[in-house]
Order: sequence, then C-alpha cells, then structure tokens
Amino acid sequence: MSDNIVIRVKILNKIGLHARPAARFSETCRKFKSKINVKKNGQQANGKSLLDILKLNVVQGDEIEIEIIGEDAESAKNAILEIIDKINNGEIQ
Amino acid sequence: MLQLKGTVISPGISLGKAFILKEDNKASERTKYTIEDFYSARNVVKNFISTLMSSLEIQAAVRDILDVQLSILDDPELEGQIKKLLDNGVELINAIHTAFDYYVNALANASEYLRERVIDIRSVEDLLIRALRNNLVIGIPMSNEDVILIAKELDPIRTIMIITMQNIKGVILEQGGVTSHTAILLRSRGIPAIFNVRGIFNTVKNNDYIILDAYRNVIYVNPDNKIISKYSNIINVINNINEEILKEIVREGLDINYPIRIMANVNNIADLELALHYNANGIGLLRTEFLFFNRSYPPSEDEQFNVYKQYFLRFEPKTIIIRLLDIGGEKIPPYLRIPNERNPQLGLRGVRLLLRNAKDILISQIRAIVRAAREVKNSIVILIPMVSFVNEVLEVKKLLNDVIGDNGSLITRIKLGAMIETPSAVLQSDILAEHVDLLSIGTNDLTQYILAVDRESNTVNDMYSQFSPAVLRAIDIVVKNAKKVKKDIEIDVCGELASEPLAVPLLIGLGVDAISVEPPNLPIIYYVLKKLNINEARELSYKALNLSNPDEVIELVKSFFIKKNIKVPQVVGEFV
Repeated sequence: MSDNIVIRVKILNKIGLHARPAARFSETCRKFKSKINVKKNGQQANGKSLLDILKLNVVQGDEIEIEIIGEDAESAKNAILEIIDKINNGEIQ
Repeated sequence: MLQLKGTVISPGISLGKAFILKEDNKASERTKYTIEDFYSARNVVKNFISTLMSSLEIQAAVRDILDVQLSILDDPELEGQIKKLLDNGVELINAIHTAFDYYVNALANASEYLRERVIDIRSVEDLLIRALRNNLVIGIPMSNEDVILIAKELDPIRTIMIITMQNIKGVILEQGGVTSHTAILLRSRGIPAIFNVRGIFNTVKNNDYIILDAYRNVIYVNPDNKIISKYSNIINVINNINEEILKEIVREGLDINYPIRIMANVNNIADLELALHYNANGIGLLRTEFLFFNRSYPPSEDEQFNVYKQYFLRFEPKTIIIRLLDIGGEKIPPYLRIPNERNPQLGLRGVRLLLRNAKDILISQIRAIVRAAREVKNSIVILIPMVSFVNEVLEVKKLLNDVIGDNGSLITRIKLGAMIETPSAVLQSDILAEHVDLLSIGTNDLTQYILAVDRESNTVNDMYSQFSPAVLRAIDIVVKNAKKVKKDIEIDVCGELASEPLAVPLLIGLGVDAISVEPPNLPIIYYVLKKLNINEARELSYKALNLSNPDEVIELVKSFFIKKNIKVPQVVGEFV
C-alpha cells in the first residue's frame, strides 16, 4: 500500500535549512524508500538531495511543505518530524 | 619595493618568501571514463575526507564543512544528473562540471552567507576531478623556509592542509570571502591573512620577499633591509607576548573583571567576524558609511533594514552602538549635493549635513534602525555624529521619538548617544548628558579641532597627536562634567586613541566606561588591560594631564610599561 502524507513545518533555527541542518535532513530522507518532496513558494526539491534543498534557500521563519509518497511514508514522516525538531531547537547547528 | 593592501581577515605579522599557488588543470591522458570511474573517485574522496576528519584534532567549524561535503558526495540528484549526462554522451569530467555548475548557479542569487558556501561545494567538485586524475594530493610546498602563500582563492580543504604545515606563515588572497570557512579557519589558527588584494596574483613572483602586516593592513613586496630589520624586531616582541595568555583572553574574553568594557569598531562584515572571534563586549562604533558609498542613489529603507538586522543578529544579544551617516570633509557620494566650501572640515558635515541637506536620508536611516531593533534582542544606541550644538541632539531625538511612538519595550531598548568631537561638545558635555544616554568621544576629529591642526597638511601634520595633554584634558572634562549631572551616563572612547595600547592606562585612569577598538587590536588591548590596576592607571593619568606636550605623555607611559614589564610593540621599536 502506498501512502501520501503532506506535512507543513516552520523552520525556526538561525541559519535555516543550510549546511549541517540541511545535510542531516537529506540524510534522514535517504533512509526511506518513499519519494520525499520539499516545497517552498511554489519551488520543489528532492528531500534526499542536499544540493536541491540548498537551492530552496529556506531561511529562519520560512514555512515548508513536505510531501511523502511511498509505502514507508508513515515512518518517514515520524523521522522527519524528529529531525526538524532537533534542527528547530538548535540541537543540530 | 611595492606596497599593497586589502581586507584584514586574520591579524598578525609574518615574514617569508612568496609561494604562488597556481591552478593546475593539467589535461589528463585518459578521456574515456565510465560511471564506474565516478563511483571509485567518489569513494577515494570520501575516504580522504573521513581521514582528514579523524586524523586532525580539528575544531567544530572544520568538522562541519567536511561533514557537509561528505553529504554532498552522496547526493542522489547530483549523481542522477551526472549519470544522465553520461548517457547522453557527455564526457565524465564535463558532466561533473555541468552538474556542479547547475547547483552553484542556482545559489548565485541567495544570501551572502550561502554564496560564500559555494566554495565548499566547488571544493568537492575539485576533489572529485583530482581523484579521477589520480592527483588528489595538492601542490603545496614542503620546505623549512618560511612561506607566505599567495593564491586567487583558497578552498577549505587546502586551508586545512595549510594549517597543518608549520612553514606556511601567512596567506594573501586576491579574492576570498570574509565569512568563508577559509577565513574562519585561518583566524582560528592565528595565521595572519589579508584577502581581496587586487593584482597581487599577477605582480608577485615565487620567492619574492614578503612582509605581511595584518595589523596595519600593509603588504610589502621586496622591502629594503631597514624595513625587514624593524619588522624582525617587532615580530620578536609579538612572539614574546605569551601565546597562552592571548588564548586564555580570547577564550575568557570579557568575563574577566576588567576595569572597563572593550567593544569593537565595525566597518564591514570582516570587522564584525573578527570582533566576534575575539569575543568583544559589543560594537562600540558601527559605521554605516559603507552602505552609502560607491553608488549613484542612496540605499532604501528596506535595504538598510536588512543590513542592520543582519549585523544586529550576528552580535545578539550584545550592545550595538550604530552611528548615523557621517559624511563630510572631502568624500561625498554623488546624490548628496553639497556646494564647494572654503573649509569643508568646518562646513556641512555629520549631523549638520543630515539635518540641513539630507533629512530624507536621516529619517530613512532612523526608521530602518528602529525596525531592525524591533526584531532583535540587542540593546541599540543610535549615535549622532559631529555634534556642535545642543539643538542638533534635540532635533534628532524628536525624529527618533516620532518613529518609536509609544512602544514601551522599544523605548527602553533603543537609546540615544552623541559623539563628542568638537570643542563645543566638550564644553557643553554636561548639558548634552541631560538629553542622551551615552557620550562617545571620537578622538580623531576631536584632536584636529582641539589642536586646530589639519592632519593632512604637509606643513603642520607632525603637530597632530592624540596623546596631546590637551586632548586628555578634554576627555577629563567630559567625564567629570557629564557624570556630575547624570551619574549613570555611559562615556565611551572611539577613534585611534582607543586602539592604542599605550593609551589604555590613561583612558582607564580618566574614568571612561568603555573603549571601542579596531578588531585586530583587541588581543593586545586585552593583554595590556590584564596587567593594569585602576589605582596605578589613575595616578598615571593625573601625571599625564599636567605634562606639556604629547612626547612627554608617550615617554611617561612607555617607562611605566617597561617598569611593569608590559611588552607591546611600541615599547621596543616603532612601527615602520
């Protein structure tokens, strides 16, 4: 069964989704089979690609939409929310 | 002999022979690579970076770069693009270039922060291609001779190698970003560096003798023996200042109970980064002129807001004293029309110019600062330049109050300050103190107006000295007058005198609350401060106030330093 989950999160850390936060985010996505799209202002990036995410230029205060499509979507969602939490509370800088 | 300058990235002085780092794009014999070659090159680079990460006792900053670079190597989109290009018949090396170009170009319009990360990405591309060509180890010379490395640009990987090489004493780049990882690395290892030195790459040859003075922003190419021997003296002195003490000071910064607070003068991002690195107590003078020069129209309120906010955030939550546009004298941007004056130094400049000819700019600047202040936690002081009449302060204060309105929390967080640079401001400092929260004594202009000496004049400039007892008396008057009417008013000193190690005991002794220092001078000022006590400083400053001329003041402090075993370059040999 293939799931399609969409979540919206706000990025709160100082440097945004850049450098290490972006690296950790994309690495988390890579652990799952699901296709993961990150969207900001009509632009879309592959969540598993650090370079693609950098292109979106997600800065502090931006809201992003994450679309997860695939059989392991549910567990991917949980892992993504966990990593976003760590990014937002400054655990990953 | 040739003299060059650029942007000081990491302060210090070094001497050595030039080594020019050339790009070596040797064409490889092989042209037929497959995707398998890409995979094996990628593994080589991953191993290489992992080895660097584990073998160097490196700090967090370096580890972060390498960490991100490892993640780029595993990027599925990058790999996908390269594969697709190969399938379409593109040769591997071109495919790698094309794929990286795509991402780097996409970042071209991003923030300055992100643009400067481009070099970290390019460095991965460079390593991949070197690995394909079995040319991973990068051509930096190993020798026993001291070397100053000169290059167009330098990526963090090569910078890490430089850091580990004992014979590389300094770095000069033709380009280079001030917040780049390269800059951070050099600064954290105390390797003197100057970036943005126009033309150096083409004018200097291998083995030219170089003096890199990143305290004063001068590079000498093939200087004469006299200069070399003077610098050799200075280097000895600097090395004698115990490195451990400097490290400790940088680490502990201002948590040590110094008799006064040490802030930094900031002209641009490079200064800001250095001030952060040395843990300054705040920005004592944020000059805003850089936003207004080299352009044909003034910056909009929005543009100013963005820049101010960026600076404030970087220094959050420390105090920032930001000076309103201080233009006048000779350099005037084209959009400010000022009639030719017989004596511009006594004409339309500083707050006079803002109030009379550029009120729209003044208002946009105040609005931008207040907007930026609203979004940060810093305490912000708006500083009025070149005050000579109390009315000027009242007019700016009214404009500021109109912009702030009745926002209670902003009223307590945004303060007003007046520069003391004119004799009238000194003599009316008690009245000024009633209207502001801070007085900042700018010794450069104050000296010229107190002594009535033009420091640009060939006939009298030798009479210009900020160590003049008259200047010290002016500072003494300001402190006494202002504190008499308002006990908690803050009195700062900015200007060259505040960055001068010999002046430190005098300024403490006169009772100022803070000094604002050029960032490269912060460690030496900390060092001097650590060795002083307030009573000795008071005694010394009283003596100085009663001397007759600047030379006597300098001699008084020098002999005090020698007695106290305070070793600063000024005590041993004059700077060239």
